[in-house]
Amino acid sequence: MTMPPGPMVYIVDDDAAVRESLSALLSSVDLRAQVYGSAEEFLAVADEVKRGCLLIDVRMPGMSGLELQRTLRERGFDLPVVVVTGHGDVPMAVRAMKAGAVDFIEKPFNEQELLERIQGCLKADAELQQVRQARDDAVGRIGQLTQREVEVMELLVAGKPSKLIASALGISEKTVDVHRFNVMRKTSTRSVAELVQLWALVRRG
Amino acid sequence: MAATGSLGRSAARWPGSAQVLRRAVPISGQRVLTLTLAFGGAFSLLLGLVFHLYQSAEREGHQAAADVARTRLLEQCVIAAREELGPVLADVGYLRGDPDIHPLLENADEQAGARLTQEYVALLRHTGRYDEAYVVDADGRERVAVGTEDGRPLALGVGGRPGWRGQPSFSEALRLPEGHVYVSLSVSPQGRSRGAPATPPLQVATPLFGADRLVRGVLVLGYRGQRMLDRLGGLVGEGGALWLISRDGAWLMGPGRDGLGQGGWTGSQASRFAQAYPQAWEQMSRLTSGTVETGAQRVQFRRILPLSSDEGADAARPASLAGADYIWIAAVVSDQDAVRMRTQAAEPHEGLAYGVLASFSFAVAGALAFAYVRSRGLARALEQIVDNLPEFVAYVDADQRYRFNNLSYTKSLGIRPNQLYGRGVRDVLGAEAYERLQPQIRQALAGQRVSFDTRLNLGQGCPRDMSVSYIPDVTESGEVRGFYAVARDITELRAAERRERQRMLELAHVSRFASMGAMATEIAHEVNQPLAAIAMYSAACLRTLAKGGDTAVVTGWLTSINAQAKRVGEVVQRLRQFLQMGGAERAPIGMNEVVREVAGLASVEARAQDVDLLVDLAPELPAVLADRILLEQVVLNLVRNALDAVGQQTGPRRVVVQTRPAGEGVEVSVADNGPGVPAGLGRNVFDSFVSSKPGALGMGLAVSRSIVEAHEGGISYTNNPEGGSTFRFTLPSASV
Repeated sequence: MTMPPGPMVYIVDDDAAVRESLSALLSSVDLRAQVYGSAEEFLAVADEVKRGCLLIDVRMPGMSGLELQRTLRERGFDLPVVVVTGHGDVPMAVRAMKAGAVDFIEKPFNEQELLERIQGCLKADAELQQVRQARDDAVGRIGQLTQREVEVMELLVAGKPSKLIASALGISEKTVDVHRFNVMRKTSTRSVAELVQLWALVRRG
Repeated sequence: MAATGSLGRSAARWPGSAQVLRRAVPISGQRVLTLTLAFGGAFSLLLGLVFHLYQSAEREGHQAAADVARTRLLEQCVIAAREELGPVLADVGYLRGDPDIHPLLENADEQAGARLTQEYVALLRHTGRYDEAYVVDADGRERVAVGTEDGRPLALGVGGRPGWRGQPSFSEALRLPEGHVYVSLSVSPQGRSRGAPATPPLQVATPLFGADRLVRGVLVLGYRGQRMLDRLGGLVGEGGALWLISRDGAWLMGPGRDGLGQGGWTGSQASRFAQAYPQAWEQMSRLTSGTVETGAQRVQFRRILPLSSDEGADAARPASLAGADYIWIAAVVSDQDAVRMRTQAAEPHEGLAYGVLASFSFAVAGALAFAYVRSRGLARALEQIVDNLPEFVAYVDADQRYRFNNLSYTKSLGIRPNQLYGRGVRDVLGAEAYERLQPQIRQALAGQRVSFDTRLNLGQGCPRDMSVSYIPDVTESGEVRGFYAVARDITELRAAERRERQRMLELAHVSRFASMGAMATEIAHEVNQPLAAIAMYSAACLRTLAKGGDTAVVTGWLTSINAQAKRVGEVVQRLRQFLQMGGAERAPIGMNEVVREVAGLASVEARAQDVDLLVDLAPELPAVLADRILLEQVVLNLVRNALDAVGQQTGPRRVVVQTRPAGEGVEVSVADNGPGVPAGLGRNVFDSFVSSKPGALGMGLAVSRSIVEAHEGGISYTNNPEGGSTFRFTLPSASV
């Protein structure tokens, strides 16, 4: 399965009619959707999913919506999740939110509301995508550093002067300066402030 | 020890129910006493009457016996007299013709006289009949004289004694024709025997004729009267005293010194009989025989007819005897008082016997009175009981007429108690009710015991439900005399049953709503799913159409909307059916259908809880007579319990609902692989407000049990060896 361009909405629901109708609704607003009949089915392809958002029915036989959400979170899956709950399932929805769901919607739902939630999620995903790309970029840049250079950078970011860095690492001040130059060059940063920003991106991921 | 002893005694004091009933009968001592006196008095009176009759009969018997004895005595007396005098007359006849008589009397032949004397001495010695014998010539001078001395005969001196002239025996005999005999009618103790005569002599004389047919003298024999006396005295016995009375009314043999006892020669009392009993004598002198009552005495008499001098003469033939036609009168005298006294002699014994019998009759009367009072009391007690029974009791004879009834029976018919006896069943119950009862009545009269329930309108307005039993009354020979009818009004009972049933229906209904409430989340889910799909499909259609999009796509979506709408409709329809208040009537239904229906309903919840709900239905199952709604509720309760049980389970969850034929009915079982029923709960799981589930009311199984039991079924559970529990209930098939 080749990944089509643009955002994709992934729908996991055991009820065929519900997931097909959701798919139809999304297609009417020119959103693309992928449907899955169970949590397990989605988990099989989850690693290939990069962009878009996830619509999960809480009440499903086998692995429930909440369990799916928890599993995805453990795997570092960070697409926004909308949890669909039945009437009176508010406590369950609260648990879903605490587990990191972006939003929840109660069945039966107003389709306008649903679409707004999905649009919101996609927008969040798009923003997240930039962050994700910046971080990937930062991770890529920092990934070029040698072990010693990383050690020097961590001390630099912590605001340590070269003299202290040299004594901490047991090397000469001159060697520290060489490493510092190489770090700035490999990460394309012009100041320590920029380096701190980049490091923060990596750490957050 | 003492405790068990008294226990044993009290147990022995109540032997049986019949005894207890008898004990309950009050017995009035006063009444028993009164009745005893009345019965005893009556019995004693009757006994007295019988006694009296017996006594008179006995007295008459005595009388008759006395009469017979008297008559016999009299006859014996006459016969004895004749027998005794017969030889005497024969002797006279013989002596009269002695050839020595003529020489003696006509020729004064002394030789002849001596011979005669010898002859007479021999006669006296041999016969013993005579004391004396004389031959007296016409002048009254003795020619031959033989006497007795100390009982021995001896010849007296013949001195020609002239003393005979004044003697009746001589003078009377002298006048007699030849061959006739004179017997002295009274004792004439003029004999010349020396010493005291042994007996009073009775002289028998006959004239002696010469060849010229002229009287020449008289032969006199002194008959020894004691012989007669001994002979007759020996006869005296039961009949009474024997008297011999001369023609002139003097006693020859009469009353002794002690009254009527054995008499003796009473020559000295001559003429006293005629004086003592003038009335009797008046009759006796006229009649040859008869009976005379004189005062306290009864005298039966008979003349002793004259005796012929001819040997062999007929005793009955009259012989001329000194102008008289009889010699003596024999009379038997008995004292009426003696008879009476003989009867009275028995009276003290009879009085004692009567006393004993009377006492006995009082004892019998007492027992009778007690039995009477008790049986009356018993009858009254039974009557009270029978009358106050709520059951209607009656007895109907073979002609179908009422012969007995209790108060309830007539009350139920609205008539007075005394208006039923003798009336026909058809007449009383009415034609319609009778038609309905006729088959059973016929069965009862055929000797069969019948019990049945029926609904009758007995003219009291609304019809009543009755439980009726007919018990035939069969004699030992097998003939049916009638039957007892025992009926009970069960209208109220039936109404109560109906109310109970209605109550249970309502309970089931409430319980059903309750289970619906518990299933609300699932139901909402079931409804929400298609509704959500519809909403989204329709929204998609609208948006696509607004943009002038592809109609083929829209058509597809609309088709889906249609299908989803139908799906909602089905769910709602099923809910409505389930919640419908069922009719109260039972009908034959298939248990498989019920299970299928409930399984369909429960499958939603089963799916939501990830439970395998398996249904295993028997292909052939008899129908059960039941209320479908109620049974659905039972199955639903069991299935929901099973789902709850396995819900706490990790790993595979399974509930199996099974139907199978069981004996005469159907068994439905619901098995789960949950934790099973907690051991502490045991049989109590079927009680109300008992539950192992937190937050549960504990009504499900209680309601289920009352429903199953109302259908004559049973419900039970077992914990499965492989884990979990199985609840099963059985229902009888409709045909049973």
